[in-house]
Amino acid sequence: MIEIKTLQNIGIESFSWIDEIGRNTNEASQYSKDTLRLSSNPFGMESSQIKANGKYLNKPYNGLIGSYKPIASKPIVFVYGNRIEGDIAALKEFISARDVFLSENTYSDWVNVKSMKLVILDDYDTAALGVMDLMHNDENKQYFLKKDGSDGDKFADVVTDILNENNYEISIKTVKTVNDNTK
Amino acid sequence: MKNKIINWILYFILLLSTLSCVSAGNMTINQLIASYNYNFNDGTLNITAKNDYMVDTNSNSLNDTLIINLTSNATSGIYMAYIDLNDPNGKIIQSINKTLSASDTNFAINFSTSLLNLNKYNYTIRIENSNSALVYEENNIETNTYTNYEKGTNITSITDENINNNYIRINLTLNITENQTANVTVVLSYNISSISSTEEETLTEGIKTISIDFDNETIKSTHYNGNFTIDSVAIGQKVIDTNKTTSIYNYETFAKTSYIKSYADGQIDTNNNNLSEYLEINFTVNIKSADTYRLEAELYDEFNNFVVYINRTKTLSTGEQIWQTRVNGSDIYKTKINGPYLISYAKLSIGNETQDITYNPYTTNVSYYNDFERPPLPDLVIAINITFNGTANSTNITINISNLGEAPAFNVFLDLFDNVTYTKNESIAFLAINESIIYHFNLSNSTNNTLYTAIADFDNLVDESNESNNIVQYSRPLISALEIVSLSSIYSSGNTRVFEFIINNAGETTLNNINWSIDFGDGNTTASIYNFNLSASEDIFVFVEYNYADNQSRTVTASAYVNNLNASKSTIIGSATDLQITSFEELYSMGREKVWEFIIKNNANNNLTDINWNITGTNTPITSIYSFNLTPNESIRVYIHENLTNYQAYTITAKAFTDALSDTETLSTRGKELEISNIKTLYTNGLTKIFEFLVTNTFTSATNNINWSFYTGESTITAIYLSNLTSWENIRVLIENNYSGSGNYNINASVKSEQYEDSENKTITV
Repeated sequence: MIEIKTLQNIGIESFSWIDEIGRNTNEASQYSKDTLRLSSNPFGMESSQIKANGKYLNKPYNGLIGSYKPIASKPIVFVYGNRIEGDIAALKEFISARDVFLSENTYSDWVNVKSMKLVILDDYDTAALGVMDLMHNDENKQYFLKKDGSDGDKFADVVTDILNENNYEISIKTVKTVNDNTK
Repeated sequence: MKNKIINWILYFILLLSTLSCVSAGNMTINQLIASYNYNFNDGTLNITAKNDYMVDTNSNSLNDTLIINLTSNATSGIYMAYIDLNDPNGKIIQSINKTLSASDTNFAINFSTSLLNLNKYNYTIRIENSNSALVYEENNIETNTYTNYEKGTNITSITDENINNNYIRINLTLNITENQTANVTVVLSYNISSISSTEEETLTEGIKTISIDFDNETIKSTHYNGNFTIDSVAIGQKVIDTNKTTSIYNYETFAKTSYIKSYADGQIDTNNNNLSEYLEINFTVNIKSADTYRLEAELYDEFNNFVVYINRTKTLSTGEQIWQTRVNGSDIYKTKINGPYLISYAKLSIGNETQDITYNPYTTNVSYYNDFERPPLPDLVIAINITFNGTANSTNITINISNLGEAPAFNVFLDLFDNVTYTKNESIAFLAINESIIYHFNLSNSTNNTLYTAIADFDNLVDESNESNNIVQYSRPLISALEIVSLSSIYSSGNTRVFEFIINNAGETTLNNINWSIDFGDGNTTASIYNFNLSASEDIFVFVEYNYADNQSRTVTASAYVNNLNASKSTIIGSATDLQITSFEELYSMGREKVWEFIIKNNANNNLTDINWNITGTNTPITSIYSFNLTPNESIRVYIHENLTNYQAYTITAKAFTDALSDTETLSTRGKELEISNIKTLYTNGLTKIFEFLVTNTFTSATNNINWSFYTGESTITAIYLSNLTSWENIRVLIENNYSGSGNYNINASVKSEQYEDSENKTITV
C-alpha cells in the first residue's frame, strides 16, 4: 500500500472524490464485492488477488485503476496492484493520466451509468513489466522492500526514481550476446 | 511527455534484450514474463513441507475433496494462507485463516473436487499476515496426480438470443452434479472491455437449462456492434472458461434511451487565413425522447494532457441527428497542445440523469495548436539607448520595454548583458496594454567598443503576437569614411595626360558600390562605369587618360562617392608641357663642328625627378649620362659639342624626358663647306661702322671662285673679285659703311662658291 503522503508529494490532491491507493484500504475491502458485480467492467479484490472481468490476475505487477460511486457517497478511484510492483505500476499510470481519472465531470452523475472507466495492467502491460524489472534488476533487487538498516532508504529511492521516470542510470544492463565475439 | 513514451519504448526494448538466459534476438514477451522469479519471503515464516491428497467425505467411494497441507516453521501468529490452482479456466483459489502455535504449524487448504478439471495441478502458495501483507509466496508447485474424483457441474451447451430487443439472453445447459443455490455469472467480452450479468440460480442434479439476461442499457453501454465472446461462466466458485462467440448484436437495436452514435471533426477557417476559428466536433446522437439534453466531453492529447471541456445544452426532438459543437480555435491555441485530441469521455444527459457515457470513443484528426486562431496576445517591444562618457569611461544604458499587443503581459523578464562579463536581470509582474517600463543602468570602467544585448522574455514565457522584436543590440556605430589619398598627372605627351588618383576606404566598415568621377577642369567630366567595393583601409588606384584641346592650366578634381559618403581632391596642372625644352640653339658652328645649347625647364607644380635628355639627328645619338631633378620652375642648360660626320643638312632633335613626361625641340643645321663666322663691328664713329667677318673654307679640299656679299641693312656690298681658298684657309673681310641715320639694322654676310654657300645675320644698332 502506498501511503497517501507519497501521493501528496507527487502533486495529487483529492477533490470531491476519494483516491484509494493500494488494495488493503478500507474502501477497497468494503466495496470489492460491489465492484466485482458491476454489469460493466467488473473489478475488485477477491482472495487477495485482483479480479477483473471475471478473471484473476496473479502477477505481482498486475494492477488496475477503477472507479466506483456508491449510492449517496463520493466517487471512489481505486488504484492498486497485487503487490508493490503492481501498486507502483498502477500509480504511475494514474499519475500520467491523473487529469483524465480525476475529471470531476465524469463523476457528476453515476446513478444510472452502466459504463465505467477501468484500466487494467495485465500480464503484458509494458509499463507494469518495466516497473517489475526495475525493482528486481541486479542493481535494485537487494533493496526490495527494505525499510531498515543502512539501506533503509534505498527502496524508497528506487520507487521515487520509477515514479519520476528517472531510471536511466539503473536501467543500463550488461547484455549477453549470441556469441562471444561481440560485447 | 512524448519523450517519456519514447523512453519507455526504449526501455522495453532494452528490457527484452537483457535477459540473461536468452539471447537478445529471440526473446518473446512471454519468455520475459516467465523469466522472473515471483517467489517471495520476507522472513516471517517458511514452508518447510507440503503434501496433498484427496479424501472421500461423503463415503460414496469417490474422492470429493483435495487437501493441500503446508507445514511452516512459524510457531505463532495469525495468517491467511491461499492456494492458487492454475486451472485452464482460470485460477481456483481457496484459503484458510489460521492461528499458528508451537503445536500446530500447519495449514490445510481444502478444494471441492467439483471445482477441478485436471488430474494434476501447478499451484501457488500465498501467505499473508494479519495485516493482509504478503509474507510468503511460492510458485509452480505440483500436486500429485488424481485420476478419479467427483466432477462438478459442467456446461453442455450455450446458446444466445435476442429477446424482443430488450435483452441478450445467454442459455446455459448444465450437467449439474450436486444440488446447490449459486450465483451464476456470465461475462461477455468485446474489444478490451466486458459486461457481466449475475443471477442466483437454484441448481438441482441432472440436466438443466438456465438463462442469464443482459439488459438493454448494459448492452447499449458497450456501443458495440458485432459478436460478443462469452468469455467465462462462473457457477458458484467454479469458473468455466467458455470462449464462445455469440451472434452479432448491435447495441443500437437494444437502446431504449438516447445515446451518442458517432463522431466527426473538422477545422473551420471562416476567413480563409489558414488559421481555424473553430475545431468542430459533430456528435451524431440518437434521441429516444424529446427533451433538453446536455452534452459533455473532454479532450486530451495522446499524453493525457487536458485540452478543453465541452459542455452544451440543447432541446432535441426524437430521432437521429447531428449535434454540432465548436471549440474556439484560440482556446486550443492557448493550451499549446498539439493534436490529435482524444475525447476521453462523452456524456449525454437529461438534467442530472446520465443517458449515455462512453470512454475514449474518438480521436480527432491530426492537427497542431498553431493551426488555430491566436487569441489576443501581448507584444513586447524592446528598445535600447546608450551614451558613453569618454571622460569618465562610463556608459549609461536606457532600456524601454513596451507592450504594444492586444493583451496584458505577465512576468516580463529583462536580460541585459555585454559581450564580456556584464549581466543584469530585471522583471516586472504585469505590463498592461500600451504600458512601458524603462530601466536605467550605469556601467563604470566601460569602453566605447562594447556590444550590449538586451532581451525581453528570454525564456519565452510570454506568448506574443510578434516574437521577433524581443531582442535589441547596441554597439558603437562603426565609422564609414572615404578619402581620395592623392591625385596627380603621371604622364603627359603633348596635350595628352594620364592622371592617377587613389581612393581609400578610411573607415571601419566595408563600403560597397563605390563610384568615382574626375573633372578635368575644361568642362569635361568622366565617371566610373563599374562600381566596386573596398574593405576597411583598402585602396584602389584609378588611372585616367585624357586628351586636352590645348595645354592651358587646369584645376582637375577627382571624386569618389558611396551612399551618403563622398570625397574629392583637386590639383592644378600647368601647361600641357610640364617638362619643357624652352630653347634649343646652335651657339657655335665651324664647318662640321657644332656647339648646341638647350634649356630644360620644370613647368609643373611639383618636383620632377629622374629627368634625362638625348640628341638625335646626328650620326650617332647623344644621351645624357646622369639623370637629374628639377624643382618647380627650375631650368637646366645642356651644351653639346658635336663634330658632324658629313657636309650635309641635319635636323637635330633635343629631347628631355622622365618616365611619364617628355618634350622635344628641333633645330636645322648643316655640316658646312664654307663658313661665315665672327661677324662683328670693329669700329664705330657716328653713323660710320666698320664690320668684319671671316670666310673659311671648311671643306676638306680647295674651293675656288668664292664670292662674298654683305648687306648693311641699307645696301649690299659685294666682292670685287673671286677668291680661292684651300682647305681651312680663310679670308678676313672688312666693310665700312656710312649709315644714313641711326637705328637698328639687320646685317647679313653671305658667301658662295659654285657648290657651297653660307650666310650669317646679325642685328646692330647705329
